[in-house]
Amino acid sequence: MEKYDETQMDAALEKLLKRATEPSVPEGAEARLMLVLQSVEQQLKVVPFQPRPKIQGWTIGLPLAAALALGIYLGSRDTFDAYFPEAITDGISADMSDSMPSTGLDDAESYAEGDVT
Amino acid sequence: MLLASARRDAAAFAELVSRYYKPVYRMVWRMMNGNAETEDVAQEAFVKLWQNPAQIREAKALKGWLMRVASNLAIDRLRRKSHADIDAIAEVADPRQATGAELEERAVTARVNQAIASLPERQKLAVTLVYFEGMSNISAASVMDISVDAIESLLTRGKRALRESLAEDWRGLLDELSSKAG
Repeated sequence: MEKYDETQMDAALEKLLKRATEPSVPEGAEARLMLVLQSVEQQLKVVPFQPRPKIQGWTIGLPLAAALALGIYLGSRDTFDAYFPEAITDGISADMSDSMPSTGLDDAESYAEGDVT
Repeated sequence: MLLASARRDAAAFAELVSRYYKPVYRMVWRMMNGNAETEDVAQEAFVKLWQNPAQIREAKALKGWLMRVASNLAIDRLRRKSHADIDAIAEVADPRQATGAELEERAVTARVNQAIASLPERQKLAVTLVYFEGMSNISAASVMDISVDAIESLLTRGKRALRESLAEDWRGLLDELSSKAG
């Protein structure tokens, strides 16, 4: 090999490399690329939709109904009266013990007789 | 064109594709030894540009950027799948009965393809960019993000490896060239 200089060896190698297969772009490759770009563009514009988990109506209604029933039951037994402020419970018990509800007629008579105190 | 592409102008991008798709495809084909995934990889490089064109500041850097991205994608794909198989290179069937000279020509082509495919990936990329894509050493170094000295070293080693694997064909050519010169 020494009888050939570097330039000759490079020239021969380049000539040999020219015999390598010359790849050709498949037909329609550029058009397919443009289609891919269109779909990428659509993906960029679309906000991904997260479907809300479906809730069955009875899963909400059942605990509400149970809470209501429990409230009525406990309320009827005066179980929690001790925990409420007296201003509420006394007023309620006073109203309940008053057999003659105030109609305002007695006050009207007093006003008519000139008693404005 | 680059500015229009940045504004997602499909027509401008199509013009850009028609200008650069072929060299990118050829380089990826060479890097992947003619693998069937060549088109996917070339596409992916352009999709990356489409998604973020602001990465390129100067139009003259565009080809180099595409080559760099595509070569990195090709190398990643090859490493992941490790199927650098020269047999994948499609041989075009010739319906005519091949003559002895044609058969010999095909055999030489197959040996050259095999020799290129056998190169280490960085040497193969350097040889592909400089010898097959006609890029200057400076441009090729920029694509590979290495110094000019480094690419010259890769080319020297690549050529040496090719000479060794193609010794018979190469010597014949050398004798032929020297006899023509004489």
